[in-house]
Amino acid sequence: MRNSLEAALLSACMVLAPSLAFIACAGTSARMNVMLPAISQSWAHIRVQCMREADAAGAHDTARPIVAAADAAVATGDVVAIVAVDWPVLDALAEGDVVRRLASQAIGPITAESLRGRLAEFIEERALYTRRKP
Amino acid sequence: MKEAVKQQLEAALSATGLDLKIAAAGVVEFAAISAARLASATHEVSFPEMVQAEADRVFLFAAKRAVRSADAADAQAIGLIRGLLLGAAGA
Repeated sequence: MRNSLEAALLSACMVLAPSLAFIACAGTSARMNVMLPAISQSWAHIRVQCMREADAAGAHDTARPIVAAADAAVATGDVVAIVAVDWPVLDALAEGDVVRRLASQAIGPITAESLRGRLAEFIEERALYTRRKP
Repeated sequence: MKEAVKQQLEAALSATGLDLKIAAAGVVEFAAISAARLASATHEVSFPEMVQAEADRVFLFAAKRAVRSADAADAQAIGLIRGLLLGAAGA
C-alpha cells in the first residue's frame, strides 16, 4: 500500500515538476521579451540626452566610453554587463540636459517633468531587470 | 495611444504566456494619466519630445507590471514544486 502510494506520488512529480519548472521561467522570459525592449527603446532616447549634455559640458571624451559600454550592455541584455555600466554618470548627464534646456527654454516645464519621469522609470527598470528572481 | 500601447503590450506578453488582464492591471490607467499630461502640454515647443518620453514611460511601466506578475507566478510555481517534492519525500 505504502509502496503504491510512493510510486503514485513520484510519478505525479515526474509529470508535474517539468511543467512547473517551465512556468517558473516566466520572470526570465518577461525580462527578456518585455522589459529589455522597453529599456532598449528608452535608452536610445536617454542616450541622446547624455551625449548632448556631454557635448555642452565639454565631457564628450569622458562620456563616450561609458555610453559605448551602455550601448553594448543594453544590446545584449547581459545582466553582468548592465550592472557594470557607470550608470550614475549617465543619469547625471541626462538630468543635466533637462536642467540646462529648461533654463534656456528649449523645453517647457511639463516636458521636463516627462523627461525626469522617464529617467526615474528607467532607473527603476534597470534595477528590476538585474535583480535575481526569488 | 492607449490602443497602441495595449497592442504593444499584448504582443510582448504573449511570449510569456501570462494573462494580459492580470499583467496589464493599472497600465491602462497609467496610459490615461500620460495622455492627460500630453493634452496639457500641446502648447510647449518641445511637445514632440514629450510624446516620445511619455510613450517610453508607458512602455517601461507596462514592462514593470509584466515582470512583477511573472515573478509572482514563478514564486507560486516554485512553491508547488517544493510542496510536491516534500510530499514525495515524506511519503
